[in-house]
Amino acid sequence: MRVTFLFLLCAASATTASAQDPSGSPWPESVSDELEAEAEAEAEAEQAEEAPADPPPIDPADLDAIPEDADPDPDPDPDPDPEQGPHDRTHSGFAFGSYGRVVAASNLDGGLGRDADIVAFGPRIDEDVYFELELRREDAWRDGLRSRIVATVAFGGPFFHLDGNFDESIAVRNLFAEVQNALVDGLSLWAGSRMWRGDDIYLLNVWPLDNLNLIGGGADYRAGDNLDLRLAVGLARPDDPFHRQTSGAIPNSGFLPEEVVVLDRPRTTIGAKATYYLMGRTARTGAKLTLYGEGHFLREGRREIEPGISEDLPSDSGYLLGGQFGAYQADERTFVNLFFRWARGLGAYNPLGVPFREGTVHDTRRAREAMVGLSANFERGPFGVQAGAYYRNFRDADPSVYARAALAEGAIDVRPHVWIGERAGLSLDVSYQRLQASALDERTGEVVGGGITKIGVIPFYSPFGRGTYTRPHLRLIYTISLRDDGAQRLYPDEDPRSQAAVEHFLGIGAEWWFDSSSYGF
Amino acid sequence: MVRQQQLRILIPALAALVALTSCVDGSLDDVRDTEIGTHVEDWRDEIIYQVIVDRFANGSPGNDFRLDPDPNSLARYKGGDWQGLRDQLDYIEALGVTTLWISPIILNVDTDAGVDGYHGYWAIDLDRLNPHFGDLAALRRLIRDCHDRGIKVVLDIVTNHLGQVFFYDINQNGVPDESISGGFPTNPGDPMAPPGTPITRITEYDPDYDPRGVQGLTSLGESGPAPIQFFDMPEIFRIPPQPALFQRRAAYNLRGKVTNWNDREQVVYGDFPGGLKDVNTENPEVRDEMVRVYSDWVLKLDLDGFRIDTIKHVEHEFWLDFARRVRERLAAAGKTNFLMFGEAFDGDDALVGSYTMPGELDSVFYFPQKFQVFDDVFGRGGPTANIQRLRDQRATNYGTEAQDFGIGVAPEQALVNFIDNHDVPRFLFSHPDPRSLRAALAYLLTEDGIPCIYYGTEQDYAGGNDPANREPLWWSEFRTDGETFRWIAQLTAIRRQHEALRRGDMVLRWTSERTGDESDAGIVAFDRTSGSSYALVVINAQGNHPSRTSFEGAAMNVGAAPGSVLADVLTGDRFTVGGDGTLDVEVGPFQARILVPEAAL
Repeated sequence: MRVTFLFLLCAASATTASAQDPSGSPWPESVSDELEAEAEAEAEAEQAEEAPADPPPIDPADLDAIPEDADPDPDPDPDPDPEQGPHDRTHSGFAFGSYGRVVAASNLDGGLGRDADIVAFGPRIDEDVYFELELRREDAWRDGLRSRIVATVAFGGPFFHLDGNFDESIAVRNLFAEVQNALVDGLSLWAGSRMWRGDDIYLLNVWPLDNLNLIGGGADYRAGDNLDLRLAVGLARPDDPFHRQTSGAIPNSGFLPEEVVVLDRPRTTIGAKATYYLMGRTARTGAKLTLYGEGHFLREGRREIEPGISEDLPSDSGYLLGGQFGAYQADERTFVNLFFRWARGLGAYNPLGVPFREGTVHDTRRAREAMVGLSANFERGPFGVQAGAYYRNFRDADPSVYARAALAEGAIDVRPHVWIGERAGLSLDVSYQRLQASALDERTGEVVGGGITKIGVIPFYSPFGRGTYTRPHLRLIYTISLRDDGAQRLYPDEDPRSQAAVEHFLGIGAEWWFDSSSYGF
Repeated sequence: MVRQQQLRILIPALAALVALTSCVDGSLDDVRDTEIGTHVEDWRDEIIYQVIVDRFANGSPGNDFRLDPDPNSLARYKGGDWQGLRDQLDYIEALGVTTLWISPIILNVDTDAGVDGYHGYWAIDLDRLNPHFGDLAALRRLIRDCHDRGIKVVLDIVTNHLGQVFFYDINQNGVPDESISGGFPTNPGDPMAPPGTPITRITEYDPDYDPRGVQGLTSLGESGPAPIQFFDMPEIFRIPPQPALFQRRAAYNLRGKVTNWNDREQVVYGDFPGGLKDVNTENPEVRDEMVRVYSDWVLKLDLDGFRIDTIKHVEHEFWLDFARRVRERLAAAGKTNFLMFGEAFDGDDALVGSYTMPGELDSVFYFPQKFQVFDDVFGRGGPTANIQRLRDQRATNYGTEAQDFGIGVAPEQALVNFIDNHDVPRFLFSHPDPRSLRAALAYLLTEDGIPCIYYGTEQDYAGGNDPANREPLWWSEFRTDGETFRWIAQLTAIRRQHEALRRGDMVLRWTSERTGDESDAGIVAFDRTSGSSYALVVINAQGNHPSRTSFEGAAMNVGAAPGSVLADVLTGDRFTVGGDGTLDVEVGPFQARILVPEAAL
């Protein structure tokens, strides 16, 4: 019975969260369509039937979803207690969210189906498995203060049922507390460990602007109806020789060596974002303009090359500047987002990233990245089409990883679909991706690079009905990937892909999302 | 309105994406294509400068991977690269050399038993480059810049062996073993008993030569040909070799390490000590692959020649086949006058010269001269008559006709002369008087053939045997004001200026058996004539006293006309040829005079 309740809870939350999911759909979070509202109401009714003693679920991804006059008391008597003060809670409860995708696929040649991409951000059609579980505690007070504590655990595949290993890869991706309307109305403060993401290009699984993983804190401020401001400061110290190094030392007494931390330099990252809604934050047809920036700082350090020999590492820094323009019609689930990003030094890597071969790189001054991207969705009646594209020009800090020292890459993916009835549909996914490096192939003398064309067919079933971004989807996926000669040469000779011009991917899987805090800001 | 707005944004955005896809940061436009051409008119005009890339200059710190910073560990990678060479072309040009001989470029076993493959002679993949030195673009840029300056590039290649790519699994247990046995006392209780049984060492990495092929061995006796096991250590590039042909037994001779250098069979079929696996160059498929691989590199890089390693360890038939097919393939692509000279590390003049016979190589590294002239005469003060004796064998031992489709010069006229190289102690290590080195350099840069200078000679480097003779050149700070550097620069300029010193026929005019206080002790004199260009070179190869080109009243006959005035381009001194065609010239200890007709100054 409890399991049933959880499922219904999830389903109910999913309907309201579908505008805040990894799709990065740009319409304001307060906008939801009628279908979702119906589903929510239905789920809430079922939930109340199954678990009448529990408080109703709220939309935890957006504290605005907590109604200003929310009644925390499950007692059917709604009369307020005249003795309650401003510090009394008006709402309290737990919520659960998730994002996930699972697929079992074959390459039609006796092996597992697998990702055939050669670019950093390939089409979301032959992905690996991944999911997040999120649990939140949420409270609201009569004086308008609201808070939440968010814990998100993510799992990377392969999972137990595939490899038989009872040891999934787990990461804590959120663990923070947030207070809304702190100090002044519209100001949110948070602290903890947080995954901070903005809008994405769903089809290509990329967040062109804010995509931070930090331990620190930050503030959000909603100024009037048009302006959102965000600021975050955090640390990260990846476990690699660019940031951290340990060495063995003879103990002062006894026998076993002691571990000495030789290099320990966390990276400080500051992110700032301003979003201006041209027609107001709650407009159902509108546009928004976003400016985004990051600063990255790393102090000098010293690392050991080999026992007894050390070298100095200079201080390092970097920045990222980006912008986004989005226009949307929420009622028709139609939008277009354009992104631009320019980064230098450490800013060309995410806070957990390091130069490719950190052993030879002393600083990241050489690194830079320019990127433009596009994400769009259009729906009319039973038809719809999603599109995603990006172009990226990247120069690594390490010039000696020749094939990657500088590269240009891009992908364009178009996914039209048609609904067959209200809950089933058929998508066609056509994409092209190309990578070109600033290196010459040693065997052919030609420029290193290649392209892959993918054509996929995805019949799917959507229990929550129509909408590009409704989930879950149960789906069959067939994709054929066509590699040109250059793409084949990108793989080592020992890799079968170096000899395969064609690769198939036939799978069955599911994707879902609901009530996740990690997306949609 | 929004829809129109979308279109206005979407269409240009897509167009921009398509246009941008072909743009890469770091243009390759300058090296995307290689134009193949012939850059040499006459190889005798060239002065080769041999460099070990890892030791010359570090131009790209980014590829400083797995370096050993200890300056004493010269058996490890030190960081030199092709960009470093490119950065120092002014230095090379200032020295006056005209051709770069660069150490092997292909992927090597990175490290083995604490020694690195920095030198390049441990090939693992013949089609790939050694990333320690740069990438294809960097190498193309180096060669392009060299050609822009009139500098040619010769590549060091190896066909005899690969690196230590496999072990002989003699006991068939799947892992490489080494065992030492013997030494047991014959009678432990008797102190007067004869010594113990012989100590034997068997290593599956590098077992001794067996004419049947290395045999498997168990406690019951031999078990037939030993299997071979390739290593799988990709972190140090120690992997099954490429091209894939070299993953087959048939690509190797599999007879174990040479133990008797006087046994011709062992020399040809045995592994090179250090576990370097001898390739079966009699296998037609191996020959095809060697021709393909190395011709491909020429065409990918626009190289001007090959210096070929360990040629005496490969049968003559291979060279007949390899040289012909390489020449044909390159000529078809527009590359002629491509120099192929080989290294036969041997003092046997007839053996060394045998590789220059019709159909084989254009030239060889002139080891007999290194031993008999530069070491014995200039280094140890031996009689200069040695020079005459060696030259007397030349027409017999070396090819006297230019190879078909070769460099257009007979091998005997195009021998690659050298004082020292990376395989022998530097001249100053064995003969520490810099004056003797400079006298040797005078001979090297004025005699016939193609002079070759080992990097660091100009900086008076004095390292001993390998690897001590492979010092980083950056230790010298690339100074160009040292006496030896300036001496070489002066000699190379003189050689370039006077055609006789490059292409002229050489006639020895004076050598001596005397090595003591005699008036002509240490004198070697020769003149060279090319058309109207004439030069007379007189060198005193000993450092004890001035010597002259006469002895007991007999003076040197020269090729210059009687009465002609010759001027020393080094000092400006004038000399007049006697009416009888003789000339008596005094030369200080370890000094040289280069005399040319006064009008040619």
